[in-house]
Amino acid sequence: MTLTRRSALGMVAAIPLATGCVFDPSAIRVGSKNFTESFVIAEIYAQALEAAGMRVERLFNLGSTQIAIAAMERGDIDCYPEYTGTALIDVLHLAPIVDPGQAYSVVARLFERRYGIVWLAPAPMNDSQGLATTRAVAQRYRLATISDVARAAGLLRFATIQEFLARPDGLPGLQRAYGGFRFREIRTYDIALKYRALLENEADVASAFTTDGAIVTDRLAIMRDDRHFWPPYNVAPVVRRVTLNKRPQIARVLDAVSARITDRAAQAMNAAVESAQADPSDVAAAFLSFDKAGATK
Amino acid sequence: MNYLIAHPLRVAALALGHLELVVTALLAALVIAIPLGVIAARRPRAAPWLLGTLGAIYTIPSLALLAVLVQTFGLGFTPVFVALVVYAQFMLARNVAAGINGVDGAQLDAARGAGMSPAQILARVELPQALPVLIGGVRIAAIAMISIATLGGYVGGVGLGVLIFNGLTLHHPSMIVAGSIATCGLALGADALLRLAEKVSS
Amino acid sequence: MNPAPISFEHVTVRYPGAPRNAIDDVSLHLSGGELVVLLGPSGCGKSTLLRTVNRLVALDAGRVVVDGTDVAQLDPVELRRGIGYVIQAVGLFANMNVAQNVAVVPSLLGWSNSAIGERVDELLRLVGLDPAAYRSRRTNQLSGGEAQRVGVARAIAARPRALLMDEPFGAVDVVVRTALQRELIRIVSELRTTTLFVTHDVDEAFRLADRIVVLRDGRIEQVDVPFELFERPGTPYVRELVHSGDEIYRRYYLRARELLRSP
Repeated sequence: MTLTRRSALGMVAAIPLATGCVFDPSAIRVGSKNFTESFVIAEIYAQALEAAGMRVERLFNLGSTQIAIAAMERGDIDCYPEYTGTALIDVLHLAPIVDPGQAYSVVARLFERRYGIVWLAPAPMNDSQGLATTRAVAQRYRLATISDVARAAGLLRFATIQEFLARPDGLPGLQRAYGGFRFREIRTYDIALKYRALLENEADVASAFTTDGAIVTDRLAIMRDDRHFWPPYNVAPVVRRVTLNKRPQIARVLDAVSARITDRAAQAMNAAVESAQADPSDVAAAFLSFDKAGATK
Repeated sequence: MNYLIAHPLRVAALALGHLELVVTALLAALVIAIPLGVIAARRPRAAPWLLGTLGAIYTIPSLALLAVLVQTFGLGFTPVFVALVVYAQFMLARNVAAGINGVDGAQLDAARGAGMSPAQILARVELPQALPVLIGGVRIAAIAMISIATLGGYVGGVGLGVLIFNGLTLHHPSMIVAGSIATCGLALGADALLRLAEKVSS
Repeated sequence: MNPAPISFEHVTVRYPGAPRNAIDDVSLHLSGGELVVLLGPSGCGKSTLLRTVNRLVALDAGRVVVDGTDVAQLDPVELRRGIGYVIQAVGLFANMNVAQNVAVVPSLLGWSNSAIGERVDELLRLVGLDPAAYRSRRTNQLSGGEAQRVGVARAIAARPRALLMDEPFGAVDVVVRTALQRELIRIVSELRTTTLFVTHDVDEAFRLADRIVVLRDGRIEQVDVPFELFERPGTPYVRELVHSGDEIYRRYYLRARELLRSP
């Protein structure tokens, strides 16, 4: 090969090294699970950290809770938004705790001890699990509480996601806590499609999250959890201890934003993304800037 | 289409990440594939086994290979990078071998007679003449890799695949379309650039 | 150029699986500066014998001595850089232009760029090609005759001690061939290189050779100056080969040699 050809190859090889961002150990890796709210809150965390001058890598859409925890343990991500109720029941396999403060301190203590993961300040919002029906179905079968649904289940078609059928705080747990819950028919859907099944009368009851955007904007009703089966699901940033030790300022930044995420804010952001097709990063940016101006959503 | 217009910088940044992934993987793949191709050219009896094995690896579904690699390398840039390097071997090694085998036997006889050592024959006669064929292989490999690298959005948070997979989860078709169009654009650009390189080299 | 004597001493070559030896106990001596032609039909072993000199073919018995040294004791790569090699298909390197092709051996030997540049121009002129016009040409822009001229230039570029030519003009048309033969005689007499030339063409042998070696089935039938071969053929085979006794052929050979060597 002539000299010029050799040097051309060399220059091409140098490009990735020069740009330097192939491996960036100084970046904080923020993860999210695979549903809208997780995206939005993770994006809020990421932008807050960037605003504070830190480099952030986003590894969103990880999948289920198990995948997210595994990724944290392996060090593939440094933090992500997790829910106290999910942690309590799905990860630690404990019985539900009704008091939000108590639930939080239990998960915080055990996560640090077992996984080296630190829970930062919880948000006021409570994205609890629940069961939703249309107002029409609720009237027809006189459904107002979870117990009502448990009893009437034999007449009802149930729409849910795969995870709900397996989670201890999903259908198996409901069956144990309330009895009944032998649905006439069960079908699994993609997480965003199950409300459509309700609205298009393909199902009567659906598993739900109380801050889902769809609930705000549509003719749905949430059943009251009369036996307090579900614990509170407060979202908080969970961070690897080793990362926090290296960058303690992460706590200050994330605590500040976390404390401002209310039920209403969450619902509005979710609705914007789901119905209005807004981009999570735009919605998160709006949240952060509104907050600076002092206005609430 | 709306997403592409509304967030051009974001798409561009992801495109750059996508390109970085593919370019570094291509270079790493060449480092391995060129010696493999030379071996395949020098040993005609071993060649079908060697290239056949690489070809078989190529038929492994990319998602399956990636799942295995994630077990070892975790999430992020690395498993996708390794998968791309592995997949590219078949196309690159095969073309190196074909390019070398395509050199006229009279030239090899003349080269030996002129007093070139085997290494000199490789460097001064065979590889330069194999270059157009090799670049052709690089072109095909690059396009395949640009496509496979979209899986970086699934396990790595890297590249235009992020738009596609996030778009699927959030049910935002415009994100999916934006990711797809941008990926196509990269592939077309790579194809045009490498065709030019092919022409220049021959 | 220092013309090197070449000796074959009881050289035997056998290809694996072949029914007989390709070269069978051949002994032959070339004085420095001679142009010796190896003549015979295909399969007689002439190319094989040629290629034992630069070790492209390995010996099963005997030895080949170039300029006093047994070639088996030299590094083959070094040996070949000191011996010119021209083949029928020419084998110009397609990735290099004419100048780079001619410069191959000097470049392998580490000559300076300026020395190489001068030598290339000198050689192109020597083989009848205008350097300005041909230096940068690609190999696929040359006619058959031009390509072989470049091939010869490449072979003698580093002032080799000996020159091996394997039917170099067999692939060009007859008109061009005569021109090339004339050039070759001029070059070889100017440079006084020891030249071993393989052909199956009796005419060509008679035109070019100082001496002719007739080979048959791996053995030497006769070695002699052309006209001794004609006047006193050693065997019926040789007699028939060179048309001994035929007056028309005698005049033809005489005339052809004259024309080739006239200024």
